[in-house]
Amino acid sequence: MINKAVIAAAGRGTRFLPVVKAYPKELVPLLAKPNLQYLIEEAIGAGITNIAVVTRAGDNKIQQYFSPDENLEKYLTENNKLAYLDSLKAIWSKAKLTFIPQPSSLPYGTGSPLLAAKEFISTDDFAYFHGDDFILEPIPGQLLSRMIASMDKYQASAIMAVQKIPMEEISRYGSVKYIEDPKYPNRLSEILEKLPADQAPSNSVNVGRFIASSKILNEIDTSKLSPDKELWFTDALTRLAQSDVVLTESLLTESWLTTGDPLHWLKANIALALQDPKLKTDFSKYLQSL
Amino acid sequence: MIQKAVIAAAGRGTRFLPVVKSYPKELIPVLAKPNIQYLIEENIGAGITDIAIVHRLGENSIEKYFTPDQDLENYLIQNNKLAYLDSLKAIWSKAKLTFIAQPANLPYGNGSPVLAAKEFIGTDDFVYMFGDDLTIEPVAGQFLSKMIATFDKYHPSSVISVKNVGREEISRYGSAKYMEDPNYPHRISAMLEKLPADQAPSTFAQGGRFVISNKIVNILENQSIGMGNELWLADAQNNMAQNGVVLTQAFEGSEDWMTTGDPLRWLEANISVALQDPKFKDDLLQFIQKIK
Repeated sequence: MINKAVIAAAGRGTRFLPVVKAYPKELVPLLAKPNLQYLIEEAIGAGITNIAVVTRAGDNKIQQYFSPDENLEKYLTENNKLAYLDSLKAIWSKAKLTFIPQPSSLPYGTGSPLLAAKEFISTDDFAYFHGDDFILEPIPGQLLSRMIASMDKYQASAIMAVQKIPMEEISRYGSVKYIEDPKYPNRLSEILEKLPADQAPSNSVNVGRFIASSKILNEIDTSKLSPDKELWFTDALTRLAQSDVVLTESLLTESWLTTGDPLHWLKANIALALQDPKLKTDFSKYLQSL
Repeated sequence: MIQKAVIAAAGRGTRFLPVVKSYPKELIPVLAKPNIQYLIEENIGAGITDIAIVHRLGENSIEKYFTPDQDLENYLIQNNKLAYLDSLKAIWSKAKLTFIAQPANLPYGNGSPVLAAKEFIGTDDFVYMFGDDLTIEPVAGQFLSKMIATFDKYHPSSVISVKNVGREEISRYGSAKYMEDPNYPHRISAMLEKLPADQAPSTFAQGGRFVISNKIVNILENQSIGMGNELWLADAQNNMAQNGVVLTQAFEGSEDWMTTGDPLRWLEANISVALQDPKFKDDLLQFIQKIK
């Protein structure tokens, strides 16, 4: 039973400058919602209701967005437009959100948000989200639910969602090395970061969604930084896989989109609009005209 | 000689809720820049450097965005990424920005920002822009320069931007009613409200760019509240069209006009801007071919 999620939302987002001078990149919109909201809805879709968002120290805009605003509600009520807040109200009624500033003493990298959320995680298993990755799926939380089921079924210590990518792009990512194990499907032995295509063990890469036991916290070691001085969560998973069962879960009808730079973000918006019942007819017509 | 611009950026932007709960819709990105930054760059491209932004009362995040941030600059210098601020630095070096909060006692409507900027406007003619619209053009300010040239040449009461949206689309917009006048090109007798396609006097819809004589301030001050309890720029324009000369300037050729006021049109505007960028164009077109 997984009831906690940690969302990493503490990056600088320099690729989105200058606009993120005004607000954190997690509030950059996908259509009319901040991209972070989709991640929260994904967690809720998988039955997770205790969600921690790890933010950049000194930034309170994310917390402010997810807090009720009496004046706005009053204005919308008067103008018969309160329905615009339905998606936020659904979150407020279903989930408890905790906002944790990431101490500036921690190194950059995907491992640090979990150190910031150590107390929140305590001794529970949890889901971990990278804020820049967006899963487009027919039902929000579908992929995550499958991961949670695998975690329970195999009593694994961690599950990492993966997607196969073209081999020529593998050098930009961490490549999964598998071990044959008749008892476990897709058992991971290690994640090898940024290898050239001819040396990479597979073309499977992580899509920013993980389930992990709290044991992973012991493997996040600030004395073991990557070559570019970052603390990588994938290194901790590799260490955990030495002693424990770590499995991968493949995307099926879900698509993996990233939102960390303007071009990929624009593509994510396009893909999302084509799935939106209100927009898709007009928008398809527009795309045909290009 | 036009030297001033007023940008209306005081709307609620409800169609962009919930995201505009956290920042004004004028800061919604078009690629990596806030929507309103393109409007400022359009002005600068047309040689206008004295720019007022009329924002919602109590809202200071637009002003903050356009104000230097030493901590961020230090971080970017250390990481050799200061070039990400080049577009802002260009604005700071070329233009003087003034931020005006629209007083709560003014009515809703696109005429009120002009009244809020009365002191800024003084006795000058000026450019007026709706913050919801984007001009798509190969060189920023190209279209606005033409509008200003028309204004300088004919000395009308105003020049209104228009786009030929075609018969099927015109019912979504107000349309221009033209009159024959050998002395003035594209002179209108009125800008009509949204009408069914077969009743619209032309297929030219009003865009969000205007070059306006100073006398509009006085007209708006004495104008009664119009439809939906709002103060409408169009009412003042029609007053001027009856008592003076109002001309239109059409977006044409490589120029286009897009609104960014709702998610669908905003997304289309993002695509148009990206397709003008050689860094993105081929990759994006390929993606669209595959997904559409």
